[in-house]
Amino acid sequence: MKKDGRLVFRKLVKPVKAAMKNVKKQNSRKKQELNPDPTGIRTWEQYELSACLEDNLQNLRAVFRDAGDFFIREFTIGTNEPVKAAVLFFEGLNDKKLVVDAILKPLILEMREIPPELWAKAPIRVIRERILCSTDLNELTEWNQVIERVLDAEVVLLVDGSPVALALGAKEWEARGVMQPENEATVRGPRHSFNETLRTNTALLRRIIKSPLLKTESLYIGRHTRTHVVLAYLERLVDEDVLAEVHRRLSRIEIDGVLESGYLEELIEDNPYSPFPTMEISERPDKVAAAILEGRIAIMTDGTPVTLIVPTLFVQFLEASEDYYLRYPTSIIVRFLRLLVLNAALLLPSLYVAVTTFHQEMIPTPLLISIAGAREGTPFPALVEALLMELAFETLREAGLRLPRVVGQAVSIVGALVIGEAAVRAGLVSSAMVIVVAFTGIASFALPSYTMASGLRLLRFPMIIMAGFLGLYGILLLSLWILIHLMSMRSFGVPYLSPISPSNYREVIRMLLMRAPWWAQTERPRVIGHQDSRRQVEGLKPRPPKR
Amino acid sequence: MVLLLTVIFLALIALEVPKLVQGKMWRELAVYSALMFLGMFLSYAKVLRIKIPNPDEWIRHLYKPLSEAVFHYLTGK
Amino acid sequence: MLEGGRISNRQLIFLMLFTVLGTANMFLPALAAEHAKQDAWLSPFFSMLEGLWVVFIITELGRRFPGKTLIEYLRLITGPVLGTGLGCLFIFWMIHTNAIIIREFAELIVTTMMPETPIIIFLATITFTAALLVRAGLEVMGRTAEFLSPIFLGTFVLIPLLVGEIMKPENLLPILEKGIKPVIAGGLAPGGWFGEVALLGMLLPYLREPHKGRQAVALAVGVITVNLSVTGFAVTAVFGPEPNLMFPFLTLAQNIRVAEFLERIESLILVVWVAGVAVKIAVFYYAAVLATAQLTGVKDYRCVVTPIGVILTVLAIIIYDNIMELVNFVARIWPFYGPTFEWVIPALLLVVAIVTRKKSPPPPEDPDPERNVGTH
Repeated sequence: MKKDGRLVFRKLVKPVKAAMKNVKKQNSRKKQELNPDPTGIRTWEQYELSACLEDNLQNLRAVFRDAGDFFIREFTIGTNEPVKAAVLFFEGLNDKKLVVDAILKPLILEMREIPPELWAKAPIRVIRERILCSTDLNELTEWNQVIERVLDAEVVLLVDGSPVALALGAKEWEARGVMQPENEATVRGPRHSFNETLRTNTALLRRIIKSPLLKTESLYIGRHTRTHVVLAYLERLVDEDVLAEVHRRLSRIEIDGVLESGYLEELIEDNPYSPFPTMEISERPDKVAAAILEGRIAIMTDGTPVTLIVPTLFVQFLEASEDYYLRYPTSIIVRFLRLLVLNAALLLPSLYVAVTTFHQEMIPTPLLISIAGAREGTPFPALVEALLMELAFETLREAGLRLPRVVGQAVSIVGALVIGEAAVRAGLVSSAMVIVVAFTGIASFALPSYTMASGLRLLRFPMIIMAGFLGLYGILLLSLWILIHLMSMRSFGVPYLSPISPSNYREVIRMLLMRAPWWAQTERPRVIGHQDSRRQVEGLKPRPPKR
Repeated sequence: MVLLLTVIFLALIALEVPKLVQGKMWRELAVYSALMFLGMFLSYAKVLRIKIPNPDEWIRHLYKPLSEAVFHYLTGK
Repeated sequence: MLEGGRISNRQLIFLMLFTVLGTANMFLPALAAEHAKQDAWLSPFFSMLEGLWVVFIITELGRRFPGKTLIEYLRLITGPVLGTGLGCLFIFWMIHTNAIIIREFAELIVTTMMPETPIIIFLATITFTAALLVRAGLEVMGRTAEFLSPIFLGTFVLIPLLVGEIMKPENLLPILEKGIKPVIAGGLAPGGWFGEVALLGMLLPYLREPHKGRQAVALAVGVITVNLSVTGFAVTAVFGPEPNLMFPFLTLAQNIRVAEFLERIESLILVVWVAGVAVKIAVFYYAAVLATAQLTGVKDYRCVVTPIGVILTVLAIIIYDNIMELVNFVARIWPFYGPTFEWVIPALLLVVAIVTRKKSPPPPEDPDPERNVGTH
């Protein structure tokens, strides 16, 4: 292959070499050991669970050397012939009272009531079935399981003479409670949000959807963090192909750690180079539940309240959960407003630049005079002015976001009043430009989705540049490129722009332009909930009773 | 201008050729090279003001008699 | 198969609408009025006949060779050597025509919208846009056409309506003053445009329901006729029988005043029009790319997109020295050059196929999942 490449195309040798190098690199990466032990003696997986308690404890101490929060509590089981035993746990991750009440007390004090012949036959079984008072109890036969369970905040019991361990769930640690969602506030609707504990989150979900069809599959991702990830969906409603695809993409992840669902999002999304998000995120249980009821899949990650929802369509980023709680006429107006806002957030500054630079004839004369008056004496062309103002706005936004709330307000006051006002007074920028940029900023905040708004903000800069060089033609060109990009995007196999394209005019009206009243929402979105498209029965429209 | 053109062509080639080579798509590469060569030849010829035959002119000559005859019949001009 | 995507019949209608209307509504009113004067609005009906004839020929060929494109059955009918030669001619025709279209587009933008910008910018950017569309595949092209068509058609229906108050219907009289001949002469150039639906020959196998392709495109031809006729009507009614305008439709738009606030909206109309032209160029571009790929037997047509794009851009510059040459070609030569490839050669092919009784069996059913999960 190498020879051919060189002989046939001499001038292409360079790319060929680069390609070869890439291939080599990939090979060497594959050969690399996944889990080298820094000490080089034995990695933690290479031990085995033995029947002798002393051996096990010694091995455990070797594995967890220098881990100050790892504890082994050795004790003697109080049968007629005393047996040595030990519980292993990490300090601070368990309910200590439960450990004492459910493990230590019964094992030390209440063992005498057990018939000795039973005990002699199968000690672990006796302990499991008769002694330990815990709801969450598992038998472990492998060394790796022992390590994993202990690390996952369970309490593990080892008994001398049996090569089996018992893992007891007594997880309890300091956690943030279920609080109000900070990023998705509503006027009407439930006020709780997910928190950082995955079990709490699945419980919140289970409290909403009380159906045996609600499945919560567990996965563990991350070599070191072993982050618990749950796929929640409604069986029979979910598209099996999409589910398989989610599984496939998640299972190929090999990474050190997953600290937030953002890691997963970037690792499994369809279009890694796109400024547009292909996964909806939410920290609201009601929103996630609504998505699941439409046939979508929620990917919940331990350690973050932010849940990913797949597959996601573009139009969903224009919806807020509150749309479905408020009465529908209001929601319809809001939908139209959001469509306008979406375009304003992307196009307004560039339209201003294009029209003032290239197409003044489009502006009615009185307006043109006032704009020209405002622009008189400003030193920069409209393009530079717009870029500067946008940059200033972005700086202000970023500064306000990271600062403590009290200081944040000061920043916005200084930014808006002092800099804005002074810049106009000094004639550095025109007041019309300040108005345009400020309105665009507000418009981008009026979108319900933060990720979508950020994507649009990113595209605003190239849009302004195109407008500055090519006027309306430039804006149209970039819009067309964006449109083509959106058209070719898919989210887990579902066309991203659906139902706009491939078009389904009924759904465009129902999902994008209107929020249909609940009694008219008889069908689920076709591309997602097609397994079972009926959502409710026909004819729920309320009528006065017949006399 | 020649320099700009060269940069653009190098960029285009660098973007596409490695993929073809990696995929061992020799036939595709051959077609790509032939067409690209034609395109590059035309562009350099235009920039360097080399006289190249214009296919449009041949077509104009070819169809002129027919066109004149038909329009003469229809409009009398 | 080279193309994995499928398009619906509705998408085909829109693609064909853009293929003809993309440039027709800007250039044709002037061309038709040159000969037909006040009867310019009648000329499209004659062109329509040519369009329907092309649709008939191409779909008839498509019926004899189901699942095959023009290039593929070309070789089946005439044998490998002649077939390849004709194929090369067809590709040349597609690329050449597309270069003309690109040049028309750029000249219009430069004369009316951005006179100070060098023309190469517009040639290159619109070719690049079309290249993006072609690379994205037929399905995305169909969907883009579907998305843009309400805006595009809306605009071009709205403009003639908005000038209603300044129309002078007496401009249209007398009807058929010099007989029917000038009207036919005015319909010749548009006929070449209508014939561009011949590209259907490259798209037919990728339809969801190929057997309904004929109706769909015939409907498209009908819509185009009505649109052009209405435009011609409005232009003549407003400006009289001899407007002497290069782009009468734009001048029409300049005369619009809506609510004393929106005026001189021709820039906005141009913007909508540019989107339509991009689709038109993309359809021609796609046909050329697919034809090249099928003729050379490559497995992925994407590899010829960039080289053909380069050729298109360069060709668009070198074929004409100025806009007058271009207009002259479009008015005098195109009405004959276009149909040669649009229906003369295909008709001959059809005759040969019927005489030699060449046919191909129906292609194996290919499952067409509307949503293909996991392919990206």
